[in-house]
Amino acid sequence: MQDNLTDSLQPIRDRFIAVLADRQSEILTSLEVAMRTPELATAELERIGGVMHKIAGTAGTLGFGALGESAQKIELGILSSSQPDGTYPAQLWIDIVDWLELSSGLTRDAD
Amino acid sequence: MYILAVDDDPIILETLEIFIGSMPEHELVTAQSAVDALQQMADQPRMFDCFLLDIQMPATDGIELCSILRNVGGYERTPILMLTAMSDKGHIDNAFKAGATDYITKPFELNSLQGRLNLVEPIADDIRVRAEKIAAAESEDAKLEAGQSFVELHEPFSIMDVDGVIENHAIENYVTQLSRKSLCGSVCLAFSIRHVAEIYHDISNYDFTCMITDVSEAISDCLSPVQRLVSYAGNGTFVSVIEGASHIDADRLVDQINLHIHRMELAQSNGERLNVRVCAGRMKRMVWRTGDAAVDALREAHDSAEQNADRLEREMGNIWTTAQFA
Repeated sequence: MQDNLTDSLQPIRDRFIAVLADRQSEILTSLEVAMRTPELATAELERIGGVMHKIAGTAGTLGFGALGESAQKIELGILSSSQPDGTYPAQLWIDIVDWLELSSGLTRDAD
Repeated sequence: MYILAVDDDPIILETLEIFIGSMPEHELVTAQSAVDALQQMADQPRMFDCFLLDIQMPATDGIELCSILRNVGGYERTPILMLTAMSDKGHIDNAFKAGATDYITKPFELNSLQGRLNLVEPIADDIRVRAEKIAAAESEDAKLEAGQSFVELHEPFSIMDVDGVIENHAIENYVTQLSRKSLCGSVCLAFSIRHVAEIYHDISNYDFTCMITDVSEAISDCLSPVQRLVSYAGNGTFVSVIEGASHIDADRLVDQINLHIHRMELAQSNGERLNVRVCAGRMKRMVWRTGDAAVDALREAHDSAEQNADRLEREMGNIWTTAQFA
């Protein structure tokens, strides 16, 4: 049954990777705006947090555990380090860039 | 079970279709929003046996939808499993307060999903059997009777529409879901109605359930300045999980609850007043207790309250005997 299930999940996995490419571009755009414009950082990081939340919820089930765990870490990091003046710890930006690299590996492999 | 899953992420819904599709005992319908879910409920020829709700959805979120479902006739006790990546205490508290039965953390595996569904299936079966009995009853009186089940003294039962009071199996799921960090400042404290067996035998079953509901309200109200969840565990005993309760004076709290109950002027259907008083057991700190150990803390608190109720009744008996000999 497990083999059948793995086969059945394959189209969903493919779709997850396809959607992941769009999500990477969405995250990258928000990241660039947030880093350039501190007054927009909170709104853009919330947007990134929302995308990371979706990825964290599905990635592990579809066999992309490391990607999901890293997305959840970023989501929690955004929630816990929100600052009214738009300043965020440097590590948060680094984590987002690392995540983009990790996920780019997956989308590149799929191509 | 006939299950409705609500999630705004189509990938989750498709994954659920495959997972639940591999379980022949279950059938799944999906919805992408609260509005879509309510439309599905209106369109379906039969009632759903179970709901899977994502918490974070645009517009009406899963917690709001859970509250809405609890107010739809026939869905007051239907199992609602929150399916979410939000594992912080605030979301878990709000989900259970809104009437959730259990909580499944995303990402989930097939086995854990199946295990959670198996755990709630007996509740769904019980609801279905009762609904069938009501449908089969011919007269209005017979329908009313079929809808009310006889409650044994030791048996927990559902208490509806009392803020902060949830089902007994839900409070066990609640403490199982919380992490060590979340449980750190919480305590478990149980309250028992004194000489409850006598009360149970002296009054009608209906009056007994009303009395239990009123006492649950008094307990929940008196605890309400702090974050709390209360459940009725049967045998006249209520179990509560209270956050940040290290400063609570249990004796004073019991006095407040008894005063609150006294002011409620509890009475039977025939107007005869009920003399109801509660006592508390020992507070059990939840720190370092997770999973089964957290459920054990609930049981220990429960036993401690009942032992205290027995002790107080024995002491009252001794005072009476001593006074007679004096």
